[in-house]
Amino acid sequence: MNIGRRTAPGPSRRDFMRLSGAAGAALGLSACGFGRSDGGGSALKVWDQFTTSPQNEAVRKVYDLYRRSSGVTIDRTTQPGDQMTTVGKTALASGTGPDVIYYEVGKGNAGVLAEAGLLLPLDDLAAEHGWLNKITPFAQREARLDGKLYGLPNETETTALFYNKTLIDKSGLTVPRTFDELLSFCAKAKAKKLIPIAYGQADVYPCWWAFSLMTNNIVGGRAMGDLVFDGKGSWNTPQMKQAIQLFFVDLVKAGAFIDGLNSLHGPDAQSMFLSGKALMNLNGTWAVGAVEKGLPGQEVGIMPMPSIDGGDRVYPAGTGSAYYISAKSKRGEEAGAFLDSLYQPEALRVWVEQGKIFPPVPFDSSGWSLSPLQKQALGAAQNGGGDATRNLGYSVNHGKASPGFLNAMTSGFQAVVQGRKTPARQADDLQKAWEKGR
Amino acid sequence: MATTMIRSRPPLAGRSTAPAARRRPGDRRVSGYLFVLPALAVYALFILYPLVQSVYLSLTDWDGAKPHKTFIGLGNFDRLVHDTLFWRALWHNLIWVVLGTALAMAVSLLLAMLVWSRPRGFTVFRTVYFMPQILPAIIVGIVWSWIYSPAFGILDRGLSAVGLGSWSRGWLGDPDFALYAVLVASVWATIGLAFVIFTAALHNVDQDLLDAARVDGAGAWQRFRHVVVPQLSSAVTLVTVLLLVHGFQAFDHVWIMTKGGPDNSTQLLATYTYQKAFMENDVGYGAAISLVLTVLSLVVSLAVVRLRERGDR
Repeated sequence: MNIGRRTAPGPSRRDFMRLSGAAGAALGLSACGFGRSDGGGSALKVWDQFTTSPQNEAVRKVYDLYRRSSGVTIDRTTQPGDQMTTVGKTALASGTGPDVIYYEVGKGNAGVLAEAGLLLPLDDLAAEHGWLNKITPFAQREARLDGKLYGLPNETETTALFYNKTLIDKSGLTVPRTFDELLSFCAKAKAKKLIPIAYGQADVYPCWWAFSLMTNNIVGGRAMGDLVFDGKGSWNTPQMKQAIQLFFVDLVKAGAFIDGLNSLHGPDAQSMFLSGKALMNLNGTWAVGAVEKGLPGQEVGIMPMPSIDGGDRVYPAGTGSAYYISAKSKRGEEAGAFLDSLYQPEALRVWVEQGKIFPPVPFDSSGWSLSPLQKQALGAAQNGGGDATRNLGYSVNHGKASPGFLNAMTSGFQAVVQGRKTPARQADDLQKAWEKGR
Repeated sequence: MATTMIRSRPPLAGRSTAPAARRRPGDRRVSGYLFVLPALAVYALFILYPLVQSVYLSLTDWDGAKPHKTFIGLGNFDRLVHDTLFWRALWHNLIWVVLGTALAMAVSLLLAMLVWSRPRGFTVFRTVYFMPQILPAIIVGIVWSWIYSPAFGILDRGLSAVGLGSWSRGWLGDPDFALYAVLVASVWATIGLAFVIFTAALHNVDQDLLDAARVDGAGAWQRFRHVVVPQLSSAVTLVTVLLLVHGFQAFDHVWIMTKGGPDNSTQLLATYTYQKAFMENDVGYGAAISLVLTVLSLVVSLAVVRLRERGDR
């Protein structure tokens, strides 16, 4: 046996050296740049989350405006928000990640990056470019962490109820203005075999929007801002319990949604609305483009949650994500100029007209081509469709909302809908999660 | 035998055997290590190093972004013991592993038995049964989400069509059913490999033994239980270990279909790990959960193999 093994043919040491040499050469060649993606090291690396149409195309045009004016090439990477949250941290920490990253605002998101020293404070750049005079105060509040400005928010998002006026009129119903009218509207729509509100909470976020709409109406926009950003107040007050009760119990009982709403995803709910099966859809102004595209020729409007006990109707607003500069970027100056270019008049028009996105800066839209729905959404974003001090509020998932608090909202509201948890207990659990996350 | 082979083999052209004869034993050992080195390097880089890093991270409170990691000893494990959601996820994992393994084994073996005699259209059946295995998890997740959809799912529509409308529900939204609904989708996606392994193993079953059993009056079930199954023991062990490990690692279908909800009713250890480490920036704690998962997976797999070996003796 031993003899057989000794003389059996096989790769010799020389063969092995040859193979090693070939492998080494291959590695060397790859290190010299073979296989590298376009853009490489000479471009400004920008990561954003605009993966869907029409935002994706609009953003490409905005970036192209900067490229043409500065001569700096942009190496753009797009990925969905969930993925960005997972990959962004590692990429920024490695030092080889993006120069500019479009990342979710808030303590549990960009706050983690800022605390780790991965983001560049923008106060100096803001002073240099005059951003503080442009960006609306609420948006600055979103992008500030511990008093420092870290991000440049570029879109004002408001959560709203989209309603198909054409379909509602055809069904012999009227758009509800008070919560009691809404309950009655739901009962009548259900009797006509129509889905009153297309809403599902299989995804983590739609219940945040719903809760934002309810709490802002009941507590008021200013109080919600104080709670979400400054921690003044609590989540287990009688008003908060009422907000939970009305939406996640009373509306469910009134037949406002389909059965099994815990298993309906947000995009599927939107599809139900776009296919004419539902009269309303709980969504946000980011969906204006898709709704216009999906319901051509139909009169569609947006509104905040109907008035509760005669109170103001408030649009919860937020900035979603903002542009941040990596602290490890060697192109800080170019990145600053890039950020400034996003607010230039020519870019603003592309954001609004084509991207259906409303940057949180003042601009004159006269002469721009905007649909009625876009104008309504723009009004909601700028002043809540009326008086900004009374009709514009804050989203509950922003500010100091920690990931644990967000998770407590999602799983808790799912449990309330199933009847496994009372609104009072959910309110207490939210308060506990809030305190734990501070 | 070896000698015969050497004599019958023609001498290699242009290669002298003299240097080999002069080679010292140490040279061969070095060559051996050099051949093993690339695989070892890959294994060390992609398996051992991350594992050691996970152990280290589990002893810290790292949030995934800070440059410094604070050492907290066994703090994460102490926290884990008192975490009710961790125990709930572990319980879900046990249900998943036991039920999922049993179901996948039974269905794949049944399918393999059905095509054992190579009926007409065998290739088509084999392809159809194996196809779910090659589908990406995202496709499986989306397709089954559609099947279960309360808005347009064919399951609820089918139930209504046959007069069982009262059974219809939002399968993935009902905490009492969601885990089992996702499990069914996952089993459907994993039976392909088990089916192929059983199909291959059935080809090696001794027909003479079967014929002898038949002559001795053994019924179909007795032939299956006492003649076929013992000859499939190696395949059964392999499939069991694969399914168990896969069961403990279950993540993708759950994440795509329910993200651990509703109300954490489909939360498994892997999804809980991901949620903690990447969504809640609690990487240290997530690493601790993942280590528990790794240890559980290893212990159960080793136990199954040992039991099988003991049974073979």
